[in-house]
Amino acid sequence: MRLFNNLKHRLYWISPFIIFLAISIPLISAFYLYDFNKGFEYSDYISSITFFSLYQSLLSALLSIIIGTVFAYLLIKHSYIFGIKYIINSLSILFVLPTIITIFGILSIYGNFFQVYGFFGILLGHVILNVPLVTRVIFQTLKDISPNERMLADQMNLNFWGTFLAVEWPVIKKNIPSLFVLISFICFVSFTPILILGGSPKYSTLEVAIYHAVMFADEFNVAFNLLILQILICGSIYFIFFRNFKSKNFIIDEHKEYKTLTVISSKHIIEYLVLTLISILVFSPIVFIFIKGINLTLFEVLNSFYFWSALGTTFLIGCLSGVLSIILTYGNLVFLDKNQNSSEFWFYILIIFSPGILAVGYYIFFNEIIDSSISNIVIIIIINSIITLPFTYNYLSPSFFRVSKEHEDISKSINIYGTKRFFLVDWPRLREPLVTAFCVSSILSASDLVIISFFGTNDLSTLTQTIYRLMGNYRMDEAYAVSLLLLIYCFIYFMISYKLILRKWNT
Amino acid sequence: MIKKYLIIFFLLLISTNLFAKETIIVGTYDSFAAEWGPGPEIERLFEEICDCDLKYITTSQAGTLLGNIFLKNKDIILGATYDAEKFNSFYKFQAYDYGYYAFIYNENLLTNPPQTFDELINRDDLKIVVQDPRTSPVGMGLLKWMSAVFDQHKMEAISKLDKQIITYTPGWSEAYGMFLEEKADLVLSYSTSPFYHQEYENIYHYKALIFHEGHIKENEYVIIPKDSKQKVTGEKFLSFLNTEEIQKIIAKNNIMYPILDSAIPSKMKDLQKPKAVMNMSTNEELISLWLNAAIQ
Repeated sequence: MRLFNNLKHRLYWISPFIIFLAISIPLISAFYLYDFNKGFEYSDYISSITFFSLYQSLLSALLSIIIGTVFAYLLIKHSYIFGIKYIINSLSILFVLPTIITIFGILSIYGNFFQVYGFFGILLGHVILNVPLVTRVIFQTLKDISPNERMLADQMNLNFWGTFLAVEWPVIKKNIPSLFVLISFICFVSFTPILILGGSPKYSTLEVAIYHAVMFADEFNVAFNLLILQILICGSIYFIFFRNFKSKNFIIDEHKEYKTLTVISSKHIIEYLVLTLISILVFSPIVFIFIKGINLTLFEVLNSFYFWSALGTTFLIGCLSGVLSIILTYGNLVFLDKNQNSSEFWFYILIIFSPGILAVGYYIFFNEIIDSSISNIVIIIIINSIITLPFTYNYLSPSFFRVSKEHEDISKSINIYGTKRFFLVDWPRLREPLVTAFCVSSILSASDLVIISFFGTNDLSTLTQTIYRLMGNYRMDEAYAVSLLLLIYCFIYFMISYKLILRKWNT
Repeated sequence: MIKKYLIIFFLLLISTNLFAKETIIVGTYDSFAAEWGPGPEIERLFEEICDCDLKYITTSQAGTLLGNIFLKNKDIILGATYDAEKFNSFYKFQAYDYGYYAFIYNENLLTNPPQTFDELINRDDLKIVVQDPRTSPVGMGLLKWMSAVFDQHKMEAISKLDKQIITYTPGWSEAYGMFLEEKADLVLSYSTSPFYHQEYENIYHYKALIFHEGHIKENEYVIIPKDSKQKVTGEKFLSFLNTEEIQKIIAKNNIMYPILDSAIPSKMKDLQKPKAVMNMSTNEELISLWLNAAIQ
């Protein structure tokens, strides 16, 4: 009996062990093909892209934070204006939408007025992609400021800057370091924006260089060197700044009513202007795609085989990697819960291994080491579910730990364990975060362009990759139409999630 | 009872295999197999004579055609350009069409096109779009061409030209599409590209810049890799591609010079054929040269 109990206890190790395997397999595989005779040549090109990767990521993060903070500040100040509520609600969706749609939108609108290829385009892309995240987080914290503080500032007769420095700035300041690190991270391993807007090797990142080395040059040595370089840099950023990073929930609104007595006044004309400009900047790519998507080829696309097959693949990959990701996350949460002494920070370490690194590793593993007949879709689903783990964890962990703590004693007293406990006790209360986490990880898997670039084939293509292919063939109208359909697909996914959450609220 | 069913089942399985048509998998680039390319018609005609099922698997980036990954499970590769290192390991290969890399411009929009390659690299008022040499053989072609023309000064020339290039696109279609939408003055393509506009659109204002310094002549090859499971049918396909009927289809739909002179369409004959020059540098050498020039 004791042995059985021991074994049962050991089962909790399965999930972390799977994750450990999932990371070590690609790393060892990439190393397996390493040719020591060739060594590592740190060429000008490598130093150039390393520098550029860092430089653009820091600058993008800085700009995103400045613009996002201003946006959040103005949104909360003028929340009485009609429509602001909708802007705020759509920001959380905007952040998880497929990157390729935004980038395609930027290329199509801004490409008409500016030279978008190169540094400017990349910065613009990263700012538009990340401002919603910054705004959402800063908005949430500003919302939590007690009205008393504002009253106090009023009574002290502080001017605009005085009030800002006394009331808002201390709260904003607290959030900036973690946001800055997170966005630098996202931009550092950026793939889609660089691939489409880079335009020249001068404006490339390590992530794209790894892809080139493996896919076009068969240079596994170079790929492995770049991969190590990337892990070292990401690891340094992570260990220096990220350890204390506290994750926030980006999607669920708390729906607190917020009322101010202000009315529209000409005093704030400049603020209205800035508010409008940032809104246009952030929403223009999506709106543009929406308008351009309704064209004559839309029916052609809807009648085509390639669209439905890509839609099916997208759904399958999204759905299954979502489920797998949730199962793995849940297993790990249970493990963390049982082993109170182990820290959760190792979970976030996954973020160091960018999609490019894992994809290359698995690519080598499946194509060069074991000559397997495992179908590519299975591989894509596995990698995607691992890459989305930090995100699912982020959405799931707060509720899980709360619920688990509350239910621990009662479950023990009525002797319910394992899956039985999950369905009887935890499920009703965890349904909401589970559904949200599932949706986010599904959409993230559907947005992926890195992994599908390695493992996709003619018969196996997602909507994201289809858009990229159509752009590559300059069939722009069809690319617009598919982008629109992908947008609709994502919205339906979110609507289902919200509906499930709402149903819960009503009961 | 179960045994009996099993035997019948296996017999059925074997018989379907016996009578199934053999599938021959051809790896090529998107625009060859696309409905407007020569692919579909070639497929139909070949299936008539070989009693097999020809299937295209395509890539949008022709630069991957000879990558180990793409080569896997392909019986035939179509559309690759010559690469000494790789070609030695193939079972068989043969050229089926050729072209000369050239810049295309719109006569109505660009009234003062550069007359020589030397003038081109020294201009600073042009917006040029070319393909990424790592992903596109056409982009690679430009480096070979510049290496042949500028020889010792190729690094400097590539660097000068780079300043006028708005973007390096992954493939040919994207670059040419941008050019047609007037986002660029010049696009890198083949000297035969104007033939398409003349033949299908009756438009004559697209012209190729023919430089007296000479152009690189590039063959497109059809290859049977060593691991091909259909070597016999593959060889049949190779000789089929060089028949006059198919050569005519290739010229008209792939917009390249056919290997058989007798198959050249009349409007293509009227185009000026550039002088051919040879490049001595290897691809790897040129790529690293280009990378260093482009990051300056």
